[in-house]
Amino acid sequence: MTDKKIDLLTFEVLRNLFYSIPREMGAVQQRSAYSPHLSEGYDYAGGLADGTGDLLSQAEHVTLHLMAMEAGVKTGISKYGIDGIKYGDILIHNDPFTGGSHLPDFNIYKPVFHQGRIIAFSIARAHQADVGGMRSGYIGDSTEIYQEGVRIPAIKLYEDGKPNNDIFDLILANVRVPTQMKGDLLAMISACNYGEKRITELVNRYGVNTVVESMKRVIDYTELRMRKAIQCFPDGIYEFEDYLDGDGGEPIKIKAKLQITGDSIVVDFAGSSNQVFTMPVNAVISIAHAGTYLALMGLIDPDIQRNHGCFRPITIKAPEGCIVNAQLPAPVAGGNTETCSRVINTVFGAMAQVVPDRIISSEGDGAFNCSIKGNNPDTGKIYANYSSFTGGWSGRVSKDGLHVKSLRAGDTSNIPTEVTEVRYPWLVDKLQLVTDSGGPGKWRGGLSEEWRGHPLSHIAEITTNMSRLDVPPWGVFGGMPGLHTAIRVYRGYKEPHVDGDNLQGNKVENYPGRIGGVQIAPEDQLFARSCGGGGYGNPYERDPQLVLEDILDEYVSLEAAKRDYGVVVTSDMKVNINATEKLRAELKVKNKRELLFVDQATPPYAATPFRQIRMAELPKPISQHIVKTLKESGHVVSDEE
Amino acid sequence: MDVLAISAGRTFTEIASLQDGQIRFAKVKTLGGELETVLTAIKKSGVDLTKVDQISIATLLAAKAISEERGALSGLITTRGFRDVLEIRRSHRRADPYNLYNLQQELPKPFVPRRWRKEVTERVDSKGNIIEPLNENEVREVAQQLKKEGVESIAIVFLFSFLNPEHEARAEDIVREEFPGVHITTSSSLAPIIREYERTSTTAANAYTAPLFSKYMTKLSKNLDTSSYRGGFNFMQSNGGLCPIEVAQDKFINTLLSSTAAGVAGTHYLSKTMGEQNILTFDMGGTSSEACFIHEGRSDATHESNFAEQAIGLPMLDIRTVGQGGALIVWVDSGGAIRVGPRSTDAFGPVCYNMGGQEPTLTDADMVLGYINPKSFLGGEMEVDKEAAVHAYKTLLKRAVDIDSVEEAAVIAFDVANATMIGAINEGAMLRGYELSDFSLVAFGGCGPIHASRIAPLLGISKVIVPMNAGTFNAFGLLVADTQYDYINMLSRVKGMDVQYLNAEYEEMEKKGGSTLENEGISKDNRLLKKSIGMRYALETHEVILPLPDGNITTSIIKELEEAFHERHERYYGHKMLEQPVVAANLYLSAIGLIKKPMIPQVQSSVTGSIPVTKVERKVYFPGTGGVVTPIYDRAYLLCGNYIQGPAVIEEKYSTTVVFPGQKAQVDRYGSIIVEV
Repeated sequence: MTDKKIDLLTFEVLRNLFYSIPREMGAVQQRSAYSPHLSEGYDYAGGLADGTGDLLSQAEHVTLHLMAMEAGVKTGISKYGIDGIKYGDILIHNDPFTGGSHLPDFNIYKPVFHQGRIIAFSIARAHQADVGGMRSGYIGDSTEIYQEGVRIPAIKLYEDGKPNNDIFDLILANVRVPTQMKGDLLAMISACNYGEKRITELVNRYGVNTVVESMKRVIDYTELRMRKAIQCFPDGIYEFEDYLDGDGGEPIKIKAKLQITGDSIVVDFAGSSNQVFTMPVNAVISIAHAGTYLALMGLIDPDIQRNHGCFRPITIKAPEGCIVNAQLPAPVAGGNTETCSRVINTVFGAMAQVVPDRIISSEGDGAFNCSIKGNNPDTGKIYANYSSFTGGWSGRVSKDGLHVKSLRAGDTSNIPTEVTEVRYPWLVDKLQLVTDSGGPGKWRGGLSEEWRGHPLSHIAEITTNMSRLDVPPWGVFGGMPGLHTAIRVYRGYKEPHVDGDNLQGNKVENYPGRIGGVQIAPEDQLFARSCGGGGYGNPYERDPQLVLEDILDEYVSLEAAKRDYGVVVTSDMKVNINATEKLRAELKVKNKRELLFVDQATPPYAATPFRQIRMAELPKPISQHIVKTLKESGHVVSDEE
Repeated sequence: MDVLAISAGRTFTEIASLQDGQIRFAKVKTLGGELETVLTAIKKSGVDLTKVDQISIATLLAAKAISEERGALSGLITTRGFRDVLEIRRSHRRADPYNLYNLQQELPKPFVPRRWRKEVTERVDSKGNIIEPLNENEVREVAQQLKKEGVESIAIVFLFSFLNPEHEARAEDIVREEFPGVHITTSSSLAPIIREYERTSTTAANAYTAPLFSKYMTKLSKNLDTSSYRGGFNFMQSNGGLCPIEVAQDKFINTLLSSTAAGVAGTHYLSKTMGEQNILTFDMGGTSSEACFIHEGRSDATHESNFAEQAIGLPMLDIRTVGQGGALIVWVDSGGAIRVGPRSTDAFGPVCYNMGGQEPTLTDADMVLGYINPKSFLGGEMEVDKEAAVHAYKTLLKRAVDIDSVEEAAVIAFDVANATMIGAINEGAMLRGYELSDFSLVAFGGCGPIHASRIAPLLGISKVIVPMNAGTFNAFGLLVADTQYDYINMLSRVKGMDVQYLNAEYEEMEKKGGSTLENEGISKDNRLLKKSIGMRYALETHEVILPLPDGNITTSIIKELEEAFHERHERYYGHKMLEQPVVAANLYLSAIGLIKKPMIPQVQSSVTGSIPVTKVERKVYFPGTGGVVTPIYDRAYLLCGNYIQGPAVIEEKYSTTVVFPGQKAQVDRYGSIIVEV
């Protein structure tokens, strides 16, 4: 074999190693982080970039971190110049307005040198449980960035291999639990050091030219596969809008126009609402990028290795000052979670017109973040806990949605009740799937979860950022919406705390999704419910046996089976075939679900009807393409009015 | 004592027999269910069962039931408000890099469907106090409901039962009264660990698999009765130790990693004999590649594991699946690059087996490259078709970019698979803080010795050891394993390192372990109680486990432990925090019943450095060389002291060892091939 062939072998080995190193770096963070949010929740990522800061590889538990790493590194490069970053430096950065996402996401990165030249960057990224600011952990009511915590431009945390203790002191002086953060920062630094060590080993073994050349080829190869896949999509312009809850006022619009031409895609967010100062739902541009890439990677080919090559065929535009390209001093705490999810949904809605057989409508949709702060009566010290809930995955072309799983949050985990109760003075009363929360469809949306708990012997303070209360996750191609989100406090509770809905006499307070500093006493109960996944396809076409199975597992109630699926069940729990056929025939005429493209209106899934889009409202060639594709996948749809 | 050992594998089943001090091996293709497999294996072994004292089995029953989702109908009784913990899991997707973005991802079904997950009123708090008494009537009601539904097995899991098992024990009694004969697993007796999802999943996994074992044992005993077998049975557990039927019956999920654990037990024994302290085991067979570290003479253990995307939280060997083995499918991706796995050809096997497989696999690559001799596959007992493998790679070539020959495609597939395994092994070493250059690699399984000498140098390992009978090494492990029970004690009071408290807790555990061994009739001299302690910084959640010396803990031991902890923490994680308090989180105890083990047979000696004779040669392809005419040695004729210069292929009845160009190999007195890479 010739030299070229030997290269191919080495290249394949290196390609695989480039992807395993970040996973190893992630393991370093997981094992040694202090806060449960990292060690139990996995909200971190490890990655490598080439010598110019282009993303080379990333092992992400949180898919959202994908794009943000590169932007963070490039900020440091443009500030110091590539020559201004020296051997032994470690940089830290979290500023949303210079390539960050929101303040809790810290990017720490270290250059990897070979003979005086930077050949790579080793990057650790992790969500910090508390970064100071007006509220502990999550913030639901900030009105400008300055309330959200400590803002760090790209600066050097280490110089010449030595920690810059003044910077450590400054950061730690601004947060509520400095020992916890110090442990987490050290874990991230360990991960960076580890990545540097492994790249250096590869250089020693294979030679610097081979390693650097392989980095370039890995990125080029991803670009090649991206372009080949995009080329298979029909050229055209595809538009969609989705909405964020408006906190009493008008919903906030996110509009995406996708233009597919040959092997590239332009995504333009012009027409989206302006940034707002009443609540922290603005997203900086890196979030618009993250959400768009995330949605597209799942649709184009999830097998393609994620790196800078993914970004090249895709151009993303958003007018400055709009909701997805927020400018200083907009509050952005919820941009990562709530708004990013909506960016993903909006792109899915547009792509539903291109690849109707691949899309999903919602994915553990939205943000369900909850921070709890208080004084621990056992220790006398302040505690700050950050946890998140997850919604249901939508129905898919030939299967139901997963319960309580998220694309945006990727592989992050909830914090076990037992860990919560050991570490924090709280009692969890319930954690359960919510019956009838999955949007009905030929393929049902995944169920959401309901969490209830209360503080022990002290008054705690709750801050949340939850979405999909007013605008529910949409059902698609005749599918119904997933059940909307809810957040409540039951006041003046009497024992036992478990099933609040059945107790008489206590006061129920319904809250909007974003609240800050709501107080809760031991005799109260906090109730949080995420939203269900939207349905896919016409529920009257769902196999009645599957509906029966859902009834037996209490995923679907008898009442909802009849109302939403047209399925009638006998008293000995069998499908009543005749009654079902008759009821379905009536419902089909009455509701014409096969004519619907998107449904965000059907009660009780929508708290108040929001909107429906009919197939006939789409441009004719697009609706015809959808109908044809879905029919081939065994769905009944129609573009005729 | 005469022993018959059977290690069931998905592709092949290994047999070892120890009779009158003589060890013999055999290997058969796995066909049908496990009962058939074991009966076939017994027949194949040719032993007279009336003379056998003990049959030791490494079983796949639990593993197959879980990965194929074919377990028993099981119910769950749990704390009110928490029945969906099993299905919500940790809300994560257990996503590999592919699935993370895969919108069509599926997850395995929970062990217990929602309709059979029942809640009862009770509550224990995080300090172990009962704050809501158990409602016994509700337990009776749900037991009756589950009985009516026809479940075969019930798991009982209450919050914080690892701190206070009272409610679970009481519920167990009530269920026994209401539903006699049903198999019951309580989480506090099986897996007293913190984290309710992991504990529920583990307990439910036991409920899901244990009834299968009862049925299997009934049939097996009946069958062997007719052959007048009067001896006992032992089963290999995931911790590398054997256990008798009664224990397997109760805690069957402990046998989940049975056959791989047997291989690690075999390696542990071999490494002791050879005087090796640090070993990486590498077992690569038809459907999986597994690796486990033996560090400073101790096999790595864990109690946080996953199997087929389900959490299993039991003390077990820390065996990492680093690849899927010879059955991995080789394919070409949309950019034209050759890829290996993660799909494997479970049903049909490699193309060269001629069993209906159409897609080329890793085993086919080994065949194309000339590593495997088609004429002597499985000792010549199985026909394989090299031409079919070559043809499959030819088809692959049409879609690949920049690749000119089938051999080149195969060699790339070979190395891509190696690179994947290297990454997974590196990750494992990192999690433990090991320097791989401190380790030797012991390779076994049908494919292990083919790949080992190629991956070792890329891991920074300089010595590969291929034991005799590498293709049946798991069965060998069954002959040399001890009985072992592991206990874990999650401390209810997270204290500093209080001497009195720790000694009291250990004493309790030692009592438990000692009496279990005693009940099994293990004499006092052969009982071994090994303590270790899991320590962590007060604020962290993950621990560092350190071995403890025998005898009582003293203040000076505590001091040493704390120093060792900081040092180890820095080694594992790159930092230490001297100012932070260190706490004892979990206490561990292994109760070991030593068995008398057979000596490893020695081979005849020759002059050191003598080159063995061979008349056989064939063209073999290696990474970077193209085809090379390579000497082929028959391992049966190798002598201690023999020296072999690579490239070379050494054929043994049930496995093949490849020595790559430039490498040197030597044979030691146990017949092990030591490759310097």
